[in-house]
Amino acid sequence: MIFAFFMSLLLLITIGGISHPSFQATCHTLLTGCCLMAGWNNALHVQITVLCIFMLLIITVISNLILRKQSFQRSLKSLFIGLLLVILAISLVIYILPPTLFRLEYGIVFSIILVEFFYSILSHTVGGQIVGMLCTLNALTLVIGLNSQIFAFVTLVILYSLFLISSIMIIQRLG
Amino acid sequence: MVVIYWLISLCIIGFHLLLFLIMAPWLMVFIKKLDGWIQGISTESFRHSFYRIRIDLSESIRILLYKTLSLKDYIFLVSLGLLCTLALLIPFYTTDMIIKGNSDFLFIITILVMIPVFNFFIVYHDTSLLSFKKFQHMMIQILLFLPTLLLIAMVCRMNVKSTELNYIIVFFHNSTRFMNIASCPLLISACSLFFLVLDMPDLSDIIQKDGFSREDKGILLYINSLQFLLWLSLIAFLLWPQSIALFNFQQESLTSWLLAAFFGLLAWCIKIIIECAVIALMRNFLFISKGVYKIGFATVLNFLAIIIYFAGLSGI
Repeated sequence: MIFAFFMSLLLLITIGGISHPSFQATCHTLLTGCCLMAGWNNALHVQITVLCIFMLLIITVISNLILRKQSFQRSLKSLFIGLLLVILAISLVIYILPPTLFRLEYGIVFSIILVEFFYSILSHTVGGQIVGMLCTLNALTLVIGLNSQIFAFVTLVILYSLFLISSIMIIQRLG
Repeated sequence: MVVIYWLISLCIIGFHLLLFLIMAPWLMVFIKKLDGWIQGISTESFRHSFYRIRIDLSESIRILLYKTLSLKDYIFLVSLGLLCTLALLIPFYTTDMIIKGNSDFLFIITILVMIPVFNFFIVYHDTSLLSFKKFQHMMIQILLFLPTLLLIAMVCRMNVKSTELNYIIVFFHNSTRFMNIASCPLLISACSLFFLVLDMPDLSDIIQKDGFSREDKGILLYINSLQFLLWLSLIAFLLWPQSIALFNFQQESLTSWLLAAFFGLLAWCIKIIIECAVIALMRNFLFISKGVYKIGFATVLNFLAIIIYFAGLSGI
């Protein structure tokens, strides 16, 4: 119960009116880490789940360094659209999926996906777009961390590194 | 006996790769022709296309083999390597012995998403800000595909209890009673992928503008066409997994496998041609499917697939 409350709080902070992409990236990565811990018992390989959590910790630090000088405006309208999307996603998932499936994980994955959509589509700044992409990759990490083999994890690590290097390049040239 | 199986497997892999590498540029020519026919615009002849492809490819190969490799050339080589790996992982017409068990859907989508991110490094040096921004936009676009792809992985997992493509083929070959319950959501997921690959050949418009030499353009277009063929093959796989032959000599003879593989090859070719026609029609008539909306459409279709799966389960 407390765990679910903590996750909801993190989710709300992530979609809230914070104008610092670095803080948002941290919240989102923490949220993904929490989801991985929540689905720990259902994971295909627990070692990959642990590795994913460690990787997320490292990515939090690096993304904070990359996005430290970025900021963007968020309006009340976009805040409410985000909230509505998340509530809709979670209620849909709980309504559709039977209790035997991993409802929590899939519910959170959907919310993460929608939050990401919300950021990437609505924020036109470089920092916002990078946070949006990071959110998508976090969703992929969650799914691979719980359901996949080691070679998928290795590819994910490579993808994350490429993404972080390209983010540095984007910020150097456009940011 | 095991040696013969391995040899057949190697032959399958060789033919598979050759087919993939040869078919890809022609696919782009074919889809351009289709676009031209629909719009009533005259396009270049097949003879001219053949010469263009031959010149582009021979120049690219010459550069990759005989020039001192720069960072850009290394990126091209790694991209080509990744695409060839993916081509081996996605079964086109038959499964084989060597790759069996490694074709995880999550692994495939991770690499498919990684290739545009990787190609982004090409534009860091020597190109204008316009090219840089366009490649960045392309990278964001492909990463936005991820939610829909994850939903498709979820549909596969719920239907077949695995995300491995080989396992999906085995499931559809063995199950008889519940096949429609599983194949219908998969079909809808495959249709949702059409919305994602709709704007895929746009790279040609981007690189025509500036910042690239003739050889770079040739190889980039080739990489783009390979990528496009892979997406189409993934759709073809999800549309009709039963058409792909199963490499299992414990249950069937070599002759029956050969027949099944030939049928699989024929089915793959027909599926690819139909997909090209559908994409050309969608591009020309479905104006609302451009931009971000197409990802929304694809997501909604996948939700529909999940609902249909549960509706099917409740009907048993």
